[in-house]
Amino acid sequence: MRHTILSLALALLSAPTLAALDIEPLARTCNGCHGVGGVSVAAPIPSIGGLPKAYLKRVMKQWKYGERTSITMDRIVKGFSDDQIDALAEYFARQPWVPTPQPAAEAVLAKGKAAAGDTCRDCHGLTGNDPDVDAPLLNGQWAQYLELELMKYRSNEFKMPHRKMKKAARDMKPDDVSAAARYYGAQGK
Amino acid sequence: MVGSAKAWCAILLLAGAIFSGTAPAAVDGAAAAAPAIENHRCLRCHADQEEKHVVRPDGTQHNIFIDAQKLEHSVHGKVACVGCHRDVTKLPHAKPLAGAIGCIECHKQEAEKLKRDPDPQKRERLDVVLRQTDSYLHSVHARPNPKNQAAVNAACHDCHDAHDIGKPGTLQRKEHRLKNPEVCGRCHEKQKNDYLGSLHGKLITEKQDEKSAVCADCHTTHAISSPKDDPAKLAITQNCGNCHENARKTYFASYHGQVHRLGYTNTAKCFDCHGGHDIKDAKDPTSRVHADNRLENCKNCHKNATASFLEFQPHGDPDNREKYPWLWSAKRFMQALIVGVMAFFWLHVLLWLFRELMDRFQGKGFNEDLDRPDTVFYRRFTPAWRWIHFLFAISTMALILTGTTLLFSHTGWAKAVVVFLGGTQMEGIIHRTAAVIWLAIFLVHLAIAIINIWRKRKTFEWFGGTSLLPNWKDLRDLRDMFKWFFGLAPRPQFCHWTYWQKFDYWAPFWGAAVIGSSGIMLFAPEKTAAFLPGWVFNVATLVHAEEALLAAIFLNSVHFFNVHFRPERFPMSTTIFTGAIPIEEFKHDHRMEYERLLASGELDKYLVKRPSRRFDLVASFVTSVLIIAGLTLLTLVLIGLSTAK
Amino acid sequence: MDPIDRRSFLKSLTAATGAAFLCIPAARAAQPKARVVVVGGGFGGASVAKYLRLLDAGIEVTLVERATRYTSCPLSNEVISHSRDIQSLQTGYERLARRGVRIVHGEVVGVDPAGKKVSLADGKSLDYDALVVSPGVDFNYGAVAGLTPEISETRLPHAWKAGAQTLLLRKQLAAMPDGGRFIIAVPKGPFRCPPGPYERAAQVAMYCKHHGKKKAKVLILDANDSFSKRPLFEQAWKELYGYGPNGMIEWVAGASGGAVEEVDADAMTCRTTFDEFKADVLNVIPPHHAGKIAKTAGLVNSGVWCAVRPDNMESTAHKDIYVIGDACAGGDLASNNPFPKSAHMANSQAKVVAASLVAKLNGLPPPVPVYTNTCYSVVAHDWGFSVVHLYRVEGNTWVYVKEGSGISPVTIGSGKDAKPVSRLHRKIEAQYAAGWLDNLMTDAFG
Repeated sequence: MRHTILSLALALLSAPTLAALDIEPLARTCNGCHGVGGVSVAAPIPSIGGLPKAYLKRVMKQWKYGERTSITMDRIVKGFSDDQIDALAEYFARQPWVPTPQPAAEAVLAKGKAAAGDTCRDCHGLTGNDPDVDAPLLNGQWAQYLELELMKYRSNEFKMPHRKMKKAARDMKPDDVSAAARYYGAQGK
Repeated sequence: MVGSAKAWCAILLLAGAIFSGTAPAAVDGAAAAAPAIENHRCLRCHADQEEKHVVRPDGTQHNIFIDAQKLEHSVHGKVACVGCHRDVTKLPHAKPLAGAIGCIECHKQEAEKLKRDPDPQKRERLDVVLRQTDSYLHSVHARPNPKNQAAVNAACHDCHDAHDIGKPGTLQRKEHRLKNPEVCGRCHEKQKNDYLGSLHGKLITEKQDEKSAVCADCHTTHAISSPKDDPAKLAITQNCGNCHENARKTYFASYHGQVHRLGYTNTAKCFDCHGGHDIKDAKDPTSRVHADNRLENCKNCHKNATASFLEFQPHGDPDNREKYPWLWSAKRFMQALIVGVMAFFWLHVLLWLFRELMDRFQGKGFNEDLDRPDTVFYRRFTPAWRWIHFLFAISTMALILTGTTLLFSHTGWAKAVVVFLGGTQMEGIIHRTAAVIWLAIFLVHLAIAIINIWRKRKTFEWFGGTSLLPNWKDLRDLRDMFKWFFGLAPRPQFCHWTYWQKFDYWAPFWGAAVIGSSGIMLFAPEKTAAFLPGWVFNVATLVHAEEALLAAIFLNSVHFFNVHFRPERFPMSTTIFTGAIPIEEFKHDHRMEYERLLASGELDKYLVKRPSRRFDLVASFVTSVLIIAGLTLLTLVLIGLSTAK
Repeated sequence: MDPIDRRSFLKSLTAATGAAFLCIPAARAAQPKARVVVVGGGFGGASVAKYLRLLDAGIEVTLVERATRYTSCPLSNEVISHSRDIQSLQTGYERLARRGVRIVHGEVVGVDPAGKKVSLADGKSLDYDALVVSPGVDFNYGAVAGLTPEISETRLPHAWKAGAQTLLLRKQLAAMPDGGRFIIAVPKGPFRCPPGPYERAAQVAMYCKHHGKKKAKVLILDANDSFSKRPLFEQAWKELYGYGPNGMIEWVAGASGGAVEEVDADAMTCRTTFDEFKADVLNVIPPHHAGKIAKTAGLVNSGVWCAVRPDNMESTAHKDIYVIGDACAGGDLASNNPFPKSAHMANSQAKVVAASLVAKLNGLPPPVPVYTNTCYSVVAHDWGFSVVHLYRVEGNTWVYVKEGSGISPVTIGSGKDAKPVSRLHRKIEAQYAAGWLDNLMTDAFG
């Protein structure tokens, strides 16, 4: 009697934890490339822990259903069910966002800030993590990754369904792309 | 069992934790400290011409497009998007926005802020908004939707595109107005389709003529109630008239319109004849007012309406000589009559008053010696005449009261009286009952008079002193009266009937003929129309009213003066109720008759004792009441006349 | 961020966490929930040690590894082509130690599965509740006549375990004259890093192309008839270096007599069934088998490899002993999709073992295992591609999930509409490769 009730109480109290545990083995496989908790230590690969759930969900589904080009991820997510994708998005969105501020030259930062103010600010905020912004965080995201991603948006070779992002990226001057990426990469908390 | 209690505690604690964890966030709202999000950031997505739609996770497609230019020029152009869409604290917002925005709340707050604004225009505009919101809150649209009690029938945003509310006088306003039928038609589809086929609808859709009527012009914009209810019907008539001013004026002058204007809708209204949404030009064979179809409209109420009804002019205008010559002539004639009669007699009254007052100041004229009141009276009226006059007076007043409420249906007193009497139908019954009594008395009097004359046929002098027939002496008396008024001659001496008494007597003959005949026509329109053309109703309505007006004014002013208010008689004469006139007064007013009777020795036959004190009081009371009633009626009529538009 | 920045970043991290480190012995003093010994400090062993501590700090984890520094095999071909410093592939065990992993630098000489004891070369022994064996591979030098470990180390390096031989091969390549021949002898599979020999061929060709050896030849003598990511490699070879008898790179399949049977270190020749080839650099990779200790422990029971249970990688030979990494034989064998012997695969297997052990030790239901692999190959500075694998466990077997697996696209579209994948795509993937290694190293050793 006592045992059943204890386990019932445990089940009740830990219900969310257990559900999360369920996705954790799968989520852990992501760590190999994206770091523990989605904090990447490698410049070409984005940190994903703490990004908006809707964004994570959307991109994974777009990859899965062939609506968006990814270099590697599109092949990987095709093996996941929609529920798994939702749970993964939820899991990584729940992780704290750990920016990795990367130093850059003053001139580059100033140039990048101007470009970001012109092009990126409305949706991503000027710090990349403005309180009134719900777009993917950019502060302390890896600049190299950001630049590669912008190159994808600017190229005709990739299916990038976010029309506005595509337009914004294409409207930028080539050397602003790198500067803006470095500017955001340099931002901290 | 102890264990299970613990488990329950755990569950409760857990529930408590969840509740306490989430509740405050919901109450405080994130808006308080949220940074403002500039509109251009919102418009980056929402004003994108190339991507007007989004597909939600459930697969449905939604238009999120907002015309940035229109927004900028709208009354809300300077308002922050997130000022209304307060649930947006971050961009991009993943969730669709809540449909209901606190328009009313916000406008109230704005009004509070602008209460003391020095710019009166601002306050005025907000007043309009506040009035409209208030009307809306009491409208049928603000009631819970029967299919979904959580929602109202129509909320602000169902009709208004808040992003495109133009300032008054702008193109945006015009566009919104032209879109009105489409907006209402989202729910009222059948009505929209009817409307689009109508004259109004075609002007809107084909000519973009914003002067044509749209839904809101008849139904109002915010104070929308069920069109089955009286307030809505009354409002619709008013609103039709806002454009069709002359039609409303002539309609209100008609019996239909008079009843309607009193607040009663059991009468033909604009849409009863013209149709509501499907109004068409009278030349259109499918129009309800096309000559071929019009009788059907009449038959809705007048089941036995004949073809003559078609000649009735529901919007007959007595001021339009070309279109309605009969009506025009009737009005001119009646007005000339009224003006002539009243001008003459009011002059007569004024001069008479002047003369008597002058005489009085000079110590002349007839003055009752109050120390030695008359004890001998002359019996002037038999009980039959006294009753006849009493009933005649009562019924006339009843007719005036009930008739003028229609004539002056625009006045507040008319509306109050009709409510007091129990509605237009009750009033109709009273009016017609009084009319029957009035006519009956008239006929009874005629019979008695004829019998009396027949009895005295051997000796009756048709143009003698006791006859009511006018004679040459009356003309001379009139001339002499005017001389007296100006102090050029002594007051003339009269026989049994003075000329003004004869006028009082004969006037109802004319009145009975005009009012009676027109009244009967209006009383039984279907029977009348069986042998008379429909336009007689227009004429009948006009002359009935004009003649009644003449009678009402004449009786309650001239007649009252002649009998009661001239200084010799003031404040009243009770003779018509006591039947007796003090002998001195008789001598003064009817000297020649007195002398004739004295000479012929017949006088004693007519001499009576002074009426008992109680009888005198009763007569005074009744006279007072009737005088007061009459003066009241006169006042009401004059109010009506002076406020008529 | 360049490698120097990263290192300084990590250094400051070390300083910051130093204080925290001091607290760990106090925590350790309590009776451990269980003792887990991990043998082998490669990607597999390091990962399992780390994740055990990450998932349950109450478990005592001892990692036994001979070396004090580890050199990543992945991307070590870039060292050979002088594109990368070998230091950038190296890491120590300090970070694992800070996570509470007991690092024992020593050599395991015996395992007593019954007594649950591991004996070390220095005579000490370690008791365990669970043993994870991640020994990697050892080479069967005897399979190639004329080859000895000594010859490999000095003259004909296989360079198949990154380290000294890698640097030796790099030196040999640099010294090779223009017009010289670089032979890569590929053993019969399965071998560690299936695309490795072919990536190496490309890297060598790249070096030659840009370092005045345009007439050099890279000859792959293969004991196998096909190879990993073959269409991608052949496309890149052709595009970048020329492929075939007239190109810089030439591949001889096993069926065409590619298998090298004998080498002569003095003559710098190698002999296949039909031919003898003279080489300027002779890179002979001997056939593999499971690391020596696996054999010692009696875990080798599937050819030269160790069979394991699909749900938790437990050895089918001994209870409570788990075999991961290159030494194990797993994967969807029925559909001819075995686990590739890769670092990422070992890392993924390690996570399965850690989760399974933690669940078991805590009396929780076993987690659902999932195995993934991502493996990048870099054929030029701006040309990379990858293969991904996904395996689930259904019933008691591995199932290769085709939808979640596959190589980078060879062309965009197919049939007539096919057009080559953009250079930008390849360039990005080359950069991802570097990032992938950094993150994988951190995931295992960080």
